Order: sequence, then C-alpha cells, then structure tokens
Amino acid sequence: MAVAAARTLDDGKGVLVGTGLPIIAAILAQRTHAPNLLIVFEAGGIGPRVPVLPVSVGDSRTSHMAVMATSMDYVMSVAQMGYVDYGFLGAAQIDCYGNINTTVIGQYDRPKVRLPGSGGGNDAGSLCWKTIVLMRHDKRRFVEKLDFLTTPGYLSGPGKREEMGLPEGTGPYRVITQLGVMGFDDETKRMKVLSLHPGVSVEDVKSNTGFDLLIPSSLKTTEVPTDRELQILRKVDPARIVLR
Amino acid sequence: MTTQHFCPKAAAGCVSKVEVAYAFGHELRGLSPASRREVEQGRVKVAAEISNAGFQWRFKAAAMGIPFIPTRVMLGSDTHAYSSAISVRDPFAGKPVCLVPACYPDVAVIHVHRCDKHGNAQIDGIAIMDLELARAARRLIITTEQIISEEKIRREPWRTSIPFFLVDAVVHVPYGCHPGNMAYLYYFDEDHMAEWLRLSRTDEGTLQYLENYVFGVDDFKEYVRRIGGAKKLKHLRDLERLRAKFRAPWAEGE
Repeated sequence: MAVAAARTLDDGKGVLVGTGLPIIAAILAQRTHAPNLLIVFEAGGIGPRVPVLPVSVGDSRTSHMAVMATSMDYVMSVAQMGYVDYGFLGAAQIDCYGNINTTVIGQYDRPKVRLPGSGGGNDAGSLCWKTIVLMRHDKRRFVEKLDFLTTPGYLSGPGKREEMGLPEGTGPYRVITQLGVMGFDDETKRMKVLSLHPGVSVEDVKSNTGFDLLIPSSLKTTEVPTDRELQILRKVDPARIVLR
Repeated sequence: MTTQHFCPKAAAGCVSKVEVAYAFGHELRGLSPASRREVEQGRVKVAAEISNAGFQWRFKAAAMGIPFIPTRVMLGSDTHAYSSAISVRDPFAGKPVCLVPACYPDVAVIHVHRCDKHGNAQIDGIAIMDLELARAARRLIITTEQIISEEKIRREPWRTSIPFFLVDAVVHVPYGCHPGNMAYLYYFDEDHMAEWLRLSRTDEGTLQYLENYVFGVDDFKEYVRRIGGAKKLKHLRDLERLRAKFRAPWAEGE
C-alpha cells in the first residue's frame, strides 16, 4: 500500500501528510521519482527532512531541518489558498462517493465506538486538490451509508461539492487498500477499481464491498514493489511500527 | 487541550463535556481506551465536533478581537452540522462560506522553552495552535523550561511568541511537558505512554495509573522519580537528538 501511495505523488508537487503510512509513502516518493516533492505537516512543519517515523503530527521530527517551522494557522491557510496538491486521509468507513467517517460508529449521542473525530481530515478533504485515502478494504468499512459524514468526498454526486461551497475541482482521487487501487469515475464521481493487487480477484473485491463498486471490464494489475522500493521502506520504518 | 492531556483527564472524571477536533486517540499509538469508554458509557458528552483548522481559526478570531472568521472548511459535512459553525453566502461573491465563532477559553496552560519573570515567552520550532490560543485565553498560565532575564528578551524582541500582558502566572517546571515531546529538548516517553495505554484498558487500571502518577504524588520532583529519574530524562534528551534508538513498546504487542 505504501508503494502504491508513493507512486501517486508527482514530482514538484506539495502533499499534506499525517503520520504513519502517509509520511512513509511521501518519503519513499522523495527518494525515488519525486525528489522535489514538498512535504507539509498540519502542525507547522514545511519541507522537513524527516529522519525517522514521527509518532505525532506535532512532534519535532515533523519540522526536522525544515525550510520553515510555522503554525497550524499558516499551514491550513496554505492549503486553503490552493497550494496543496495532495492530502492523505485514513477512514473507518467510506461510501461510493469517497465520503468518509472518522467520528462515530453507531448513533452519535451514544456511539458503539467513539473514534477520534475529524482532526485535520475534514480540512484536507475540503482544501487539497486531490485526496488519497489509505484504509483496509472490507464490508464493514466500505458501506452503503456512513454512520457520520466526517470528511466530504463527492457528497451525493457531481457538482455537489461546488454547490456546498467547497473549492471547485477538488475531491477524492485515489483509495488504496490491501486489495487494490480505486479511483473515481469522471462523470458520475462514483468509486471505481483501477487496478487489483497481484493475487486479488474481482470476486474478492466485490465480496468485501458493501456498495455497488464500478468494475471496468479490463483491469490492470498493480505493479509489484521493486527491491529498491522495499529497501527504502525498511530504512524509513526500521522498528516496523507501521509496515508489517 | 491536546488529546494526550484530555484522555487521562476524561478518565479521571474531570470532564463532563468536550468540543472535539481530535481526541480519544493517540495518533500512531492507537485509540485511547479510557476516554472512549467515558463517551460510549455516557459519562462524557461530546458537545460539538469541529475540524483542526476550524478550531484553530476559532482561536484566531478571538485573537483578532472579532466575533467570527470565514473559512472554506467543514462545508457539506456532518462535522459542520454538529459544530458551532454557521454557513452563509459570502456578501461579495455570493458563494457559501463557513463562519466559525470566536472561542475564548477560560483558562489556557502553555509550556514554553523560556520566558522572563513577567511572562514574555519564546517558543522554539513549530507553534501549532499556541500563539492564537495564548492570545484568546481569558486567563493564561505559562509553564517554562527556563527563566531568563528581561534583558535577553529585549535584545531579540522578534523572538517573543507570547507578550507579558497576556500572561497571568509563570511556573518554572523543567521537563514539565513529560510524557510529551518538547522540541529540541526531549522526546516522547513511549514506555510511559505504553503503560498508560495498557493500564487504561480497564477502569481499575486507569485508577491505578492516576494514583501512581497524579493523586499519589506530592510534587513534580517525586513525579520525575517515579517516571525513571535522571536516567530516564537523559534517555529522552538523547532520543530527541537522534542519539538513541527509538522503540515503540505499544507496537511490539505488549
């Protein structure tokens, strides 16, 4: 998943990252095809040289040897002005339009599971040009209807984001799971499969998705990580905290 | 307050309601069993949701002395519906815009790298929300690693993050941020965080943690002894300078 995520990031662009898989993917991208990728952390670190996996988005690793150590106000303003090309998101639940839930499972007032809440997720989902969701693929997570819409994807379909006042042209770009890489249909804004990881069948994906996922007739297979990519990953997370 | 400070306070029964941008979790370490239980069992009410930028800009509005500030976040979401925000049409261009109201905390406590006895404070590294929070709070308590002279502040006035007139009290507490990370000085104490996460899986364990490190401790000196004393503090300083190997006990299946 880290490798697939890294490959979505173009050189010379800016990416808003959280800790965990997103920063690992961003560092891998920098050390392979995107040396000029600008990494930005919501807590204020702009362009850090991250030496080791940060535990928190606000810890000192996220501004280590950075070009600028500022505040959340400025970083979020940078995103709001349209400077941030990519944003990474995690999710407990996702629907066919890429709307995601990180707030509650069950009823809001007496939840079955209380989750952390939006954090910077709603901000990234509202302001970044292209959001990339990294999450586990199963029927409990890929649902017909979210228990709570924490962060907007395409809301209820084409044009809805703009109607609500979200910046024109922004929205979910990729959803990367242990089964494959998904994108969104240009016309309908519904989630569709772009490639399946080696060994994963169409049946696997269908049986793990609780909504009608668009599956094109000709599907690519996700390219396997190269030895070099794996080597770099091992250096970035030597304690295997995130990568297993 | 940060999630790291909120979760034990909620578990100790100090919180009845909370406005949440991010809580009930400890980022890479996982979710916080104790504070989640408080909400799932109905003892703590979540009064409102908001996003990080939304909350940050509530303090910014207060810091600017204005009643609200327009933003482009939260539009179209349930986060918005459960927040203090109101959406209106921008009177200049007509597009929807999300207004967040000014937030004036009754009390804020901020830990800084150094300050003089009047409270003129310097913060090294990223400020996160501290600048706006300091300016928005009705009462502000500064805890500091180091007390310096007023002359030193005056020689480099651009380094002042928080001016004295916002500050109500100054407390000198080196390592006061523990188990948190103080940029350039000491890193997170992950052994301590792992102990909190392990104990807080049950109500009894939570009480045990609070007795060990909060209620059963006379002063900060004793707290430092209990968390491992000078040896532990040196290790945290080495970790911060990347001179020690980082271990995450909570990731090792403990």
